[in-house]
Amino acid sequence: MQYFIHRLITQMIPVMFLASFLVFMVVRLIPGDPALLASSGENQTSQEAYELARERLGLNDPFHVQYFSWVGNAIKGDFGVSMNKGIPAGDIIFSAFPATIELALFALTYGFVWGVVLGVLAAVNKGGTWDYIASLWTGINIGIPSFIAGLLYLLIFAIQFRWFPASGRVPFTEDPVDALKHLALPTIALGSIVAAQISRYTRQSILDTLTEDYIRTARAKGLRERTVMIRHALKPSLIPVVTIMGLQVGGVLAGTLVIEQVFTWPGIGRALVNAVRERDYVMMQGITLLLVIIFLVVNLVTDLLYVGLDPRIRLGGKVEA
Amino acid sequence: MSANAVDPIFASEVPPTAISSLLREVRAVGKTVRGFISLLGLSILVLFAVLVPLLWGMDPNWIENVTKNQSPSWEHPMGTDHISRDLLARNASGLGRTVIIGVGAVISGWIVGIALGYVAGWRGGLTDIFIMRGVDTLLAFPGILIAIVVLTILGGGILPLGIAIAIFNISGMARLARAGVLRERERDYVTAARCLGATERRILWRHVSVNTFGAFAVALPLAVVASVLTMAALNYLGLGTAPPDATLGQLLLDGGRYMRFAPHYVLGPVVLLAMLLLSLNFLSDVMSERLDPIRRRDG
Repeated sequence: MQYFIHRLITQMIPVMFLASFLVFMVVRLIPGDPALLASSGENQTSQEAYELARERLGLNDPFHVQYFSWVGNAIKGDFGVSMNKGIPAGDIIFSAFPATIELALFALTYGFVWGVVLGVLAAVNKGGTWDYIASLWTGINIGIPSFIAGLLYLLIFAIQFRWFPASGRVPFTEDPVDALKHLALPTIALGSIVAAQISRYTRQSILDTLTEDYIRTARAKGLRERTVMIRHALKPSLIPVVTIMGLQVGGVLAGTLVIEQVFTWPGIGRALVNAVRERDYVMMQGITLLLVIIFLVVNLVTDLLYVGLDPRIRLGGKVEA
Repeated sequence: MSANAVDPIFASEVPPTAISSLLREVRAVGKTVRGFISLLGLSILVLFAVLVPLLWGMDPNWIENVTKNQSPSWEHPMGTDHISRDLLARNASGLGRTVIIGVGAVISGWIVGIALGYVAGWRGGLTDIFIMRGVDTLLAFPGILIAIVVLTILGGGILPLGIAIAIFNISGMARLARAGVLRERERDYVTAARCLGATERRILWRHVSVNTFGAFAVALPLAVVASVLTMAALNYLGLGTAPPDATLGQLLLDGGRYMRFAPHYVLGPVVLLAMLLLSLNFLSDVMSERLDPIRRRDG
């Protein structure tokens, strides 16, 4: 708890403040007057319409008032009105959000499960065929970025063999099988890098754990090798892996930005790219702010998980920052 | 260690010339499987990017107007694109442009990052806190998000693209440089230099800096990977491109649109990018394993 508060005060809040300020500044730094942009939609840009737009957008207020009212509204989920679509940006953002979360969750789950399985296989057969195959697979998947792998999968499995649909999303509530089919390729493209990282760490972590004294004790007690592996070696080995997993969450979310474009997945990444293309700065601000907050929270949770999982930190009571 | 010893007492201190030590390093890297694959891949790519424009005298931006989305043939070994430009020439020039912008952005970002990290580590105190908080803020954003924001502010084109990538290289480097300085500043040679009357500035830039470069060299391939990848991703999202000039990301974007009718179009940049990034990743693996005995594969 102490650690949580410490982190919150020294890191989260200053970084969040700075980040939100930067995001806020984006609109001021972009060449062109937002009021001119907003008022030009009403056919003729009269001086009156322009003044009205300035007043409506709050551009006549002092700088700090503008910033704090923006942040205050954003906290309440009000990101302003999308400049191009004319509906609240918050509505667009939150309707796109589930698709991104769904994809990210699938990719992380696939990455974690497949990564641990591969890591265990490699560690148990250290120096053997499985170890070699696993190392080759991880090497290739860490090396090739997810969106290029995604394009390759599209080319092979969706266009050449037509086993999977090439684009779009089907909600689970409509047709679970079809939903899974649509999810398969983006999940594998996005999750394989996670799986590769996880399997590397799992392998190394298990090999490290196996040199511990208590493993020798367990073996000396006459336990079967399988019991030693699963009961004694695997569990402590997964502690560092969970931390790595936390780091992957950020990577996967960043990956969705591009992957969604490859598979035309209607998530937040596509919304951001569309906003950038259409120069819809209100949308951009909202999505960027939301993503940054998610990243910071994920980082904090990862740290807390690590503290919670490692008994030495928990029992010691005191935490080194 | 070094063969060209001058004075036996200083035999281990005489640094071998830069080229000979580089050659030795390359030879050692080439002896491992991954290293060999990586060097082979990089050589092929360099030859491709250099020789094709020289020997295949076709203008990458020239529009022939009759052969849209043509499959590979003798006239166009990699086919043609959606407005009948020769894809072999476009891929080669795109590869060259991608690598040059990527490396250039890494270097310019590093110069700023190194300077910030050195000053933060050397001065300490408030300067350190101030600089590193800023760096932490940058690190809190995913790189591609920073780049998108920067590109929105600066507009499209090659230079803004380079600047966006350079900015996202600053933060990681500042950390690395600061860590290096913190490690080196308590060493005896620093005290020695100070006793000899060297100014603080001279100690930092002439003595300490040289000793932190090793870690930077290892980080180089990965930084280039991240930069090329981010650049390709940005171009793929339609940001920071400068048509008609090709980059690999731009080719991915255009090729992706015609994937159904002309799969050869997108295949070229996909294979080139995969090869480039894979080779650089392997290179970085081998280099860090060579320098860090704990991370050796059989560890």
